Amino acid sequence: MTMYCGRWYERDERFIAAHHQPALLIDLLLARDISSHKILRGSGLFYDDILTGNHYLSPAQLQQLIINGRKLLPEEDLSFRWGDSLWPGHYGVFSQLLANAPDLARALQALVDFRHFLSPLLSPRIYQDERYCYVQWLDACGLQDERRFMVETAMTGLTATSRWLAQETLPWRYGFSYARPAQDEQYQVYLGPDLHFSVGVDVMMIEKHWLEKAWPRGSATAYQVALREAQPLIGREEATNGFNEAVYHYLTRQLRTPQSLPEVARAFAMSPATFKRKLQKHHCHFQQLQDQARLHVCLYLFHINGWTNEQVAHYLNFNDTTNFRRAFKRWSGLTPSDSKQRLLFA
Amino acid sequence: MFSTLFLHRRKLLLVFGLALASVVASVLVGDAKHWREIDWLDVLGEGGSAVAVAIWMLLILGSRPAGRVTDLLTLGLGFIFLAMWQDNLDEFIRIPAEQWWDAWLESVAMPVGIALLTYGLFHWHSEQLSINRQLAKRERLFREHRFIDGLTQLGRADYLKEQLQQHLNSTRPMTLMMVDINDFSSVNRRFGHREGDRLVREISELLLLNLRQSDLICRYAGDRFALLLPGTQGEAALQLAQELELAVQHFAFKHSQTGETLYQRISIGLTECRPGDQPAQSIERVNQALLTAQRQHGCFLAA
Repeated sequence: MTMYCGRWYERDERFIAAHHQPALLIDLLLARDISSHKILRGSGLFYDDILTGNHYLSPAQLQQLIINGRKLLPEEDLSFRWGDSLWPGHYGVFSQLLANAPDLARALQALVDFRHFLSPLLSPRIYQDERYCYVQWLDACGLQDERRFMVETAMTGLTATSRWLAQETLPWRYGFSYARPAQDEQYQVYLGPDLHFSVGVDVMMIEKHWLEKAWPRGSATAYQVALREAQPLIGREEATNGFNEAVYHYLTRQLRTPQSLPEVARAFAMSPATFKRKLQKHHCHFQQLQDQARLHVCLYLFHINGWTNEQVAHYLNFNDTTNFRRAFKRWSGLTPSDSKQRLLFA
Repeated sequence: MFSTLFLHRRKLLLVFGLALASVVASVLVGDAKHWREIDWLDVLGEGGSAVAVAIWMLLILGSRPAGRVTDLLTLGLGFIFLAMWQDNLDEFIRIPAEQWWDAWLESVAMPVGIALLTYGLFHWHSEQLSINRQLAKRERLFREHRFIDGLTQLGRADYLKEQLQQHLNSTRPMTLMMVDINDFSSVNRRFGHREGDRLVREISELLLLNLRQSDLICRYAGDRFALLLPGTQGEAALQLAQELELAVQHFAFKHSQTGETLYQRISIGLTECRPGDQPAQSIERVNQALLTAQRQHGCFLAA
């Protein structure tokens, strides 16, 4: 058994600077004449706390702000408007890093390395194959119903930031784990025309030659300086994965030998009861994380490694492909061939 | 609602004051009925109707500015309320027959109230027709308040689809236009969302001013507007698009704090709606046309 050797953050840890991304969300609501006590209701926050500039929120508190915002402005564009000016933002050295990124590759690198400052609720991961670069968005610590909201925010954020820094619209393509919403107008206006729903994963993809194209606003020197300043801030001890994300990553790495809950609990140095309680606190079930990990690894092997059903079934220790197909359908709601078709964005 | 109600505090005081006065007067001159004499079914029916009428009156006052039509509607409902109220009091209190005002309140107030309400509704109808003329470019033949966008007070995409469906059923030629502000995201970035919101609202007013009475404008999403031009095709539609482009180009939007002028440009995609199209198909085509227009920084009519 392998121990999980990273650190993680939990829903109730206060590390999100209130005057950064949360303040931006609050401002969007204040601009529509909504009173601050309605916006902050149930979050345990006071507006004066935010103004002090040294108050920190937990992911759960930020999520409560999102829940309030969705209720107060039900017109469905709050997530997109928040995303539109989310990055580079005014978050000290991390924003400088993004704002000076000399190209897309290094902007993405900054976003991933400092994700728990720049995107604490929804975590970005980068994959590449010969032709494409993929940015996958993962639930860091139990978003539940606000997951779609955060996916909209993060994808709009990356789209708008890359457009602002590159000074041209990049040809991103978008895949969503959920079905096409009845109102998809915001998606078209804020993201673009290349939208693909029900593909099993929340992902943005772009052809790789865009990664290295120099950005007019970027400065390699300023980026290096900001990087040198930012690195000590995360330190070796700093948790960069949310709890759900940490378990998910552990599971994806141990996928060939199916893990039981007590085994994984041991890897996280916890008793099974404590581990279960933590999962519950983060609104997820062990089985659900395991299915998600398997589905995502399958998608990776299909699309990035270009493997066949037989190869993937064999890799995951399925006895035959029929069993594999059945299991895949349970995880994703689609057959492997349907899924391949959809993720090719054909 | 409460701020509007405050405008009408005198009328409300009058109606509820009279209701209270009639209670006091009845108690003074009449004597209470015995518990067993009260017909509870009548109390429920008449009392319930009186309460319902009072609620209607409050809803009307709470949603209308002051004016002649409001006065008539309130007075009409107020009299009807008083008549029902008095009728209901009789269930509890026996009033001697020589008290003329009791019978008067019951039998005269009701017809007077109904006459005033009828007269008020007639004027409300004329008022509504003139409001409809003002709203014509924002809504056509069909009203649904859930489809109104909170920022611009235009119809939203749902409303557009509804209208497109109705128009596609007729055989009249029609053009669908999609208007998008160029690089709007950077306005938000540089000047903040309040200025961005204000710009969207003012551009929507500007587009509205430049449309014909028969056209319809909706807010599609974000900084994108959809325009429906019935009976217009080809060159005529392009001509209209170019007029809109010029109008926005010359619009000197002022920053609310610094007074700095921010000039904007728009891109416009157009498509002709064909009979037999689904709304979603026309919208898809016009969004594609808009993408081409954005690349060319101008107008583009999709074939």
